[in-house]
Amino acid sequence: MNFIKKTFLCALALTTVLLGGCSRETISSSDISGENIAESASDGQINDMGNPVSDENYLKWGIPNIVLVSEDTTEKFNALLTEKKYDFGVEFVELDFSNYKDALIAGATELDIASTGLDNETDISVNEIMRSGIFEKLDERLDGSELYSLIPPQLWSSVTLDGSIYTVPSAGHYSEGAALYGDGSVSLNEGFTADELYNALGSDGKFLFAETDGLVIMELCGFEVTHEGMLIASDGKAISPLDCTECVDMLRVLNKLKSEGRLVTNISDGDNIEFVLAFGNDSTAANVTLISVKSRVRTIYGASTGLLKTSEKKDEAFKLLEALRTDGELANLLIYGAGYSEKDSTAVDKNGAPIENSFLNKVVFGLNGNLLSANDVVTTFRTTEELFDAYNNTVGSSVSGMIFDNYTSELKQALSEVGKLWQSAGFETALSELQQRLDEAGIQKLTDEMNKKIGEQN
Amino acid sequence: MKVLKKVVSLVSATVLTVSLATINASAASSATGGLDGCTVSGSSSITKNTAVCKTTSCNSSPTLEVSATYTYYDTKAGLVKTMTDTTGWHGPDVLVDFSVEGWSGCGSISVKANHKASYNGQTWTASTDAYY
Repeated sequence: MNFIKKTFLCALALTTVLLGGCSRETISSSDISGENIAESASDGQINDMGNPVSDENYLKWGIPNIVLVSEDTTEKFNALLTEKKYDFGVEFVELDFSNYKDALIAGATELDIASTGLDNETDISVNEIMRSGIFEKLDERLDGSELYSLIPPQLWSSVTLDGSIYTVPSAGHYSEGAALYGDGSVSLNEGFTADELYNALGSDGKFLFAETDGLVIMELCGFEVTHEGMLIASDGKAISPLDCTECVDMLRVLNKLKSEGRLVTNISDGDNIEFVLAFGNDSTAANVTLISVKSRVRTIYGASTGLLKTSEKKDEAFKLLEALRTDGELANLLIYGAGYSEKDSTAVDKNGAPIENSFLNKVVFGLNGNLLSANDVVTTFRTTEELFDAYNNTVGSSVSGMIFDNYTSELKQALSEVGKLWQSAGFETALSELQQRLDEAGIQKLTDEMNKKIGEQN
Repeated sequence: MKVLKKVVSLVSATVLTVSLATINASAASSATGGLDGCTVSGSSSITKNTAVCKTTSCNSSPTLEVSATYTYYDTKAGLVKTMTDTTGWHGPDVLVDFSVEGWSGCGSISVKANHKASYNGQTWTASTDAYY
């Protein structure tokens, strides 16, 4: 189905959802097309136990429309569910990605399962979704459940809100911890200052810094960088990054190196690379690990998945989320699509090439522990054990489970630009302007609130 | 399964469009027009971690512009992020390109571009976009 058609159908489906009077047949894009699912659902599938999958037993799963599940995939997925003796099927309801919060909240009563959508740098819509009350509290269901046991506790912490769990976290956000590598000629220790970094590079050494976010380096300097873009100092206090002298100095040095042509984002022949900042092992330019920190698991409500409070099929919905984490066949089909096949433990397309475009599916469906490998940008875990092993080597956040009332869209936008300051043509002017924006957006109130809540937690 | 999305462009020629064609290709879109006998076109294409948007003309005479916004997802941060870029010069082509290649856990979502070509008092504009 081409995108125009998809877009039209999404708009139509969303309009119907907003009108609040839609049936299953009108809410699903595949239904609108009159093909596949609608027909098979109307006819009723018969599972191996002889139980029909009736129209009423189709779970409606809201997802952002940048993740497309083809009709073919949906059909095969439902056939597989039937084959595996589940007495329900699923419909994927694509909601407008660019207006996801409003689309989800307006259509919540028509859905059984929904993604929280993808968090972004410019607004706090995911936090607002979490606060909207549309999701069922899962604590009792999770207690002693298989689903709870299949996801690392660190990930459950990452979606805790006010001490409860409302959504199943995405396992697609894992990354290895940041590390600074050297060529062996110079050394730096954790807690290094901006001046020490600059001096260690000598007069012509280069720093391979393939990151947009300059704040990443602060994790190596002994600070926690929160999901909000705030810093937690070693004394446990939250601080605005621009109120942190060490941080501003570091951004200034990165900027200076960039202006001198010594902060490079890729390697050219003849480059004298002294340092490399990377995640996980990097052997492209330097191979001596100077400083490494564990991967930090931050609070990330984005791309998590919840059961809608108004759903009458919560038991089935919970069972489906569990099935996706116990049954690799179901998980691989949802992530890699109907056309995938397995070759050497890798998901390949019809041409035999490793699949590359699967990362958004992994992120949004949250699956990453029972999958074939692929050539996408997400670290994939072949087994649940591998996933747990990876998370056992992580550290948590000081502000897990907290949403801050003073974290506004204006603050979020301004804080997201702090890490990009090192790219500015006029650093001092940009710094001053950004400080003013942060002040006007209420950075002090956020800092105070964070410190109050951190203090209460401790 | 996610399908590579293709988007038809909205195209307008404010003065004269001799010809207009839209081509759908995998993870890419393009638009073509004409200015006083000179064919101009715009295109956007996207891969796993790069994107390119281009405005081209039949020769170096027209003034060309392209401005684009690239949207990608940073799985480490759990955030959708954007980059924007604009460039303009005389033909036969101008382009902006984006890359998150080598950036741990970052992958393309979309790129959207506005194209403009001016020649002999005529202006052609078009929009293209591509989704990964």
